Amino acid sequence: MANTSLVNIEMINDSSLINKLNAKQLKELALLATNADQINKIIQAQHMDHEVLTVILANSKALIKNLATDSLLKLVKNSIDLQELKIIFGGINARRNDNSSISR
Amino acid sequence: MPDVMTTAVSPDRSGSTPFTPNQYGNIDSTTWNELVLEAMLVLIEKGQSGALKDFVNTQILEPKDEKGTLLEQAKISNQEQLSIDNLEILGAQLKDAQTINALFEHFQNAKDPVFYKAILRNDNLNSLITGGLKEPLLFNLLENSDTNSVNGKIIDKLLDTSADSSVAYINDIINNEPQKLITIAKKATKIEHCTKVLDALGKNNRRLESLGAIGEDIARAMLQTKHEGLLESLKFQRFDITKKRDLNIKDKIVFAKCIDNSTQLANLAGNLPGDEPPGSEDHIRAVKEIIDNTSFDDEVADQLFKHPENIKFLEAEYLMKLAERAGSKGQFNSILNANNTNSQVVDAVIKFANSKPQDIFSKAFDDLDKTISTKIASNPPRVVRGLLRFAKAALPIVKLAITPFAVAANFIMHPIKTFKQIRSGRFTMPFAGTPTSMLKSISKTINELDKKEKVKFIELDNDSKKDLVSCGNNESFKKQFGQMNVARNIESAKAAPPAIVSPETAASGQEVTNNSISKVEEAMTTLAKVTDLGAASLSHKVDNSSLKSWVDVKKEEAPGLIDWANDKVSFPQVEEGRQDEQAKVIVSALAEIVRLSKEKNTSKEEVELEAAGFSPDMMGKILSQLESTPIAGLQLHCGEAAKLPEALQQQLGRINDRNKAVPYKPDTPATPAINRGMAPPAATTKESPHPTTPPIIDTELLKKPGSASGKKPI
Repeated sequence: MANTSLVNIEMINDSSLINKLNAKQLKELALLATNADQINKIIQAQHMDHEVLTVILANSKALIKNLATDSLLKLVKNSIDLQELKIIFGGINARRNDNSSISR
Repeated sequence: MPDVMTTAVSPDRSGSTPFTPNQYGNIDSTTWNELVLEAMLVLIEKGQSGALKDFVNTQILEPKDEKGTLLEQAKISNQEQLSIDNLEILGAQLKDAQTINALFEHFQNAKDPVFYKAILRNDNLNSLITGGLKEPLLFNLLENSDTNSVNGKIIDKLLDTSADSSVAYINDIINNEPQKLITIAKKATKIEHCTKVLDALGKNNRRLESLGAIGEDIARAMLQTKHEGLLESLKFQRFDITKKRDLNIKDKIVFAKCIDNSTQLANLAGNLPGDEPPGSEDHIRAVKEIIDNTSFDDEVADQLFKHPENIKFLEAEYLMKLAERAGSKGQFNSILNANNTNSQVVDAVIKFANSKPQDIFSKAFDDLDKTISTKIASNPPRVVRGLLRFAKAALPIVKLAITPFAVAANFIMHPIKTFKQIRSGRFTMPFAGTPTSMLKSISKTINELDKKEKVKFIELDNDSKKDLVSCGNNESFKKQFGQMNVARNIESAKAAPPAIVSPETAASGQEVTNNSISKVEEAMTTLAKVTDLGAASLSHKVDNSSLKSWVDVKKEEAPGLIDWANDKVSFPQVEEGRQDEQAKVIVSALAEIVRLSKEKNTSKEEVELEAAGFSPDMMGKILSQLESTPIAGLQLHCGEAAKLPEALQQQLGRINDRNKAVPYKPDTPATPAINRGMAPPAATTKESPHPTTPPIIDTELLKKPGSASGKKPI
C-alpha cells in the first residue's frame, strides 16, 4: 500500500490534478475528506464512479445535505439501488427541512 | 457538466443566494424535480421499478421529521413537487402501478392530461391496468383516451363487477356520479363494455330510464360509438350473449327515444320482447317512443306490426300514425282490431289504404272477404264496423261484394236492431244470398254473442227468430242456428230462472221474466217444427241446363234467389193466408225465368221446369195464376214426388199445351203479370248505402208476420 501515500488531501485543491486521479485514488481521497466542499470536488472529478460513491455514502453521510446541487445530482445518477438513493435523499430531505424551517 | 469548482461555489441554478448553514442554498423545485426524476430513472434503468413505490413513499412523500411529513408541508405551502415534464417521463416509463398511483394521489401535476396521456403511451399499460391502477386514475385515463384507440382493459377494469372494490366503485358512481357512465359508454369498444354498464345499473336496481337525462346520454353514447358493428352486436335482444340476459325493457324505452337511425330503430322494434311479454305496460311505452321517434318509418312499422299485442293497447293517436305506415291487409287489421280504434282511426286506415299502390293491395285483399268473415266472427261490433268501412274503401280495388258484409256487419253490431230493420224493410237484402262462409261466420258469432250476452239475445222477439231462420236460405245455417243457438238460449234461460239480467237490462231496471222465457220456448217450438220438416225454403229444381247462363246473370243481380251449388231456383217459404200473393210472385218468377232463358238461347225450344215441394193447395194457386197469365214456351212438370190430384194434373196439361201455342215475343215480357209482384227498387239505407238489385221475389211478402205453413211438399 506504498502508493497510498501519494494521495493527500491537498490534491483536492488542484483542479487539474484531481481530474487525473483514477477511481481508486479518488476513493482514498474520499476517505480523507472532512467537509462538503472537499466532497464536492471529489464528486466532480472526472473519474468519479460508483465505487467512489459508496465510500462517500459510507463515510460522509452527514455531509450530503450540505453538498452542491450538481454534486447531489451526480450522486443520484451514479447510484444503483434504492438503498443508495435513500441515503442521498436522506441528505436532500434534511436540507429541505432545514430550509423550510428557516423560511418559516 | 459544468466545471466542478465553479459550480461548487456558485449560487444554485435558481439564482438564489447561498446562505448558511447550507452554503449552496435551498433546493428549489426545479432541482428537486431533477433529483427525483434521476433517482426514479436509476431505479427504472436498473430494473428496480418495483422499488419505486418504496422510494416515492419514503423519500419523496413521507420523509418524516419533527415537523411532519414533507408531503404535509408541501400541501401547506402548495408547492409543486414534480414538474409536469418529469411526470410525463415517469408516466411513459414507469412499470409499477403502485408508483403511478402514488404520483397521481400526491402530486398536483399528476392530475394533468399530459400525465394521463403519458401513461396511455406506456408500453406496459396493460400490466399497469391489471396490476392495480386505481380509479379515478383509470377513469381519467379512459376520459383522456382517443376514442379510436381506447384500451378496453380500462373499461373492463373499471367495471369489473366481480371485484368488491369495483362493485363499490360502480355503486358509488351510479349513486353519486352517474355521468361517468356516459364517458364509459362513449369509450366502449365492445358489446361487453355496454353490457357491463347496463349490468352494473341492473345490479343496482337502476335502469337507464331511472337516470333520466343521464340515462338518455348513456344510451346515445352507446348508439353514437364510431366503432362499426357495435350496435349490430347489441341486437337489443340477448344483450349479453354469454349470460343469456336480455336487455331490460326499461332500457329499451330509453333506446327507443334516443335512436336516430331508422335501421337501428327497426332493429329495436323487432326485438322488444325479452324479459317481459308483449302487451305489458312497458312494452306499450316502448312502442310509443318508437312511433314518436323521428326515424319511425315503414321499415320500423313493419317490425312493430309483428307484435299486435302491443298495438292492441295503443291510443288512437298512435294508431293513426301506424296507419300511415301500414302496408298490408294484416297490418291494417291489427289497427282496426285495437281496443282504442275509433272513427278517426278508421278514417286514417281508409285514407292510407287508398293511398297505397294498387299492386300492394291487389294481393293483400285477395282474401279479404275471408278475413272479414273471420273477423266478424271473432271481434266485437266496433271492430266489425271498422272492417266494414275498410272493406268499402277497398271495394274499388278488389270489387268485393260488399252487401253481404254490410248485412253481416250490422247484424253483429246490432243484432236486435238489424232484425227489426230486416223485418221493417229497411234492409232490402236479407240474409238469403249471403255466402255460406259468411253465414257460418254469422252463426259462429251468434254462438259467441249467445255465450256472452244471453239475455240480450233471447230478448229477440219470436218473429225475428223465425225470420232469421226463414230468410237464411241455407240449410246448414238454419240447422246450426236452430239447434244450437236458440236451443241453448232456451236451456240457458231455463237453467237460471226466474231472471237473467244483462248489464243493459240491469241498467234499465228491467228483468227477464218467466214470460219472456215462455215466448222463447214458443218460438223454439215453431223453429223446431220448421227445421224438422226441412221446409224452411221450398226449392224448385231447375233441370233445364239452359238456365245456367241465366243463373249466372242472376246470381249477381239477385243473389237471394239462387242456390248456386245445385242450380236451383229457390223460393221463400209459403205462408198461410198469403198463398195467393205468393203464387203471383212465383208465376212472375217463372215468367222471368222463361223470358231470360229464351233470350239467352237462340233455340225456340220450350223451357221445361220441374216443380216440386209445393203442396197441392199451393200448386193449385200457382196453376190458377198460370191459367190467367200464359207464359210462352213454359212447360211445367211435377216430379214424381209431387203427386198432384187428377184435376190439377189436367189443369197443368192444359196450361202447358196453351203455353206451347203462344208465340214468344222477345221484345216484350211474356206476360204483363211478370212484374206485378216485384219489389220496388231498393232504397239505400243508412246501414247499407250500396244500392242493391231488387230481387225477383217480392221481399215485402216476407216481411209480414205469419207462421210457417208446416205443410209437407207434394
